[in-house]
Amino acid sequence: MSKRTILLSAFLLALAAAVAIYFLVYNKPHKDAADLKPEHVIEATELYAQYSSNEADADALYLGKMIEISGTLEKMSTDEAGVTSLFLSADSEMDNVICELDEIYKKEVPELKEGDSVKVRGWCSGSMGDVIISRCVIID
Amino acid sequence: MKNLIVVLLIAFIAPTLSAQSKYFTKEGKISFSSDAPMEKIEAHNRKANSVLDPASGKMEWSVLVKAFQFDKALMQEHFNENYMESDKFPKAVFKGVVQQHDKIDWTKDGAHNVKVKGTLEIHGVTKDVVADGKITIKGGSISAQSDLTIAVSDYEIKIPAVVKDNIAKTVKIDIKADYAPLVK
Repeated sequence: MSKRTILLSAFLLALAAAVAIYFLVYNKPHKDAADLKPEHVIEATELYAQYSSNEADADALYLGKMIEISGTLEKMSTDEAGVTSLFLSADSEMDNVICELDEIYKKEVPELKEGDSVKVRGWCSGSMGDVIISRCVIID
Repeated sequence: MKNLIVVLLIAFIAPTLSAQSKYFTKEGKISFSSDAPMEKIEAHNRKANSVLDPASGKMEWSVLVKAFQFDKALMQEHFNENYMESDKFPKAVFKGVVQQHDKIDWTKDGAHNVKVKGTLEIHGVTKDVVADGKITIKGGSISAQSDLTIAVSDYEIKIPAVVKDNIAKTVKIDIKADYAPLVK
């Protein structure tokens, strides 16, 4: 093999690797909450209480963070796109901690009923009265 | 006789009362898409709050920026961290009034093309907007839908020069709400 062939193969190999890495990064999948360690473990009622007493403080702690929440299922809804949300009790007349499930649950709506105790993990999106947790997975 | 009067009174007052109450949803849908040369960017938010007051025509929307879901994790990251800075500005809010709302009979089934005028706050910047939309009244519930196009630069969202050509300068926003009467 001539020096030129070696150089050329090395160059092509590097190029292929670069392209592969680019596609891997560009198409990297969403993180699965089930595989990660939650930054906070908290009851739904406690999370809601903290948000309603001081939203800015609660945001500083939880916004964008992966948290594990336990609570009582008050209501469940599945929209026309097949995305299911669990409304956990917040001990409030109007509001809930709403856990929007990850799209992996589109194929299979979880078998839960009102009053069930559930434990979910997801990313806290903040509060507008209700506290919204996004891309949740059911742990228990 | 007295009972009859009460019944008649209720029969006449009840529909007007329901027209006076506010309507709301916790599961309004907001999606946006932007056709870039490289690839279509699309995201959905299924947890928008909206309140509609037929009596005054007032309509309000608020949405959590972090609750927008993208197919690609990287896009969602860039959207939150680089463009919307959602740690600093977690919400987007629209406050407006349905124009000529008094011409709509909110107690009767029907579909109405409307203009909604108001202010839209995104990324900490508030701008006046007018949106064309449709309000549908059916069996005591109200639904609303609209689409509008906004310019990214209006909201001081900076697009780095490197990716400038890959990201469209305008974004189309689709909005949909199925309202239920607000029972207090």
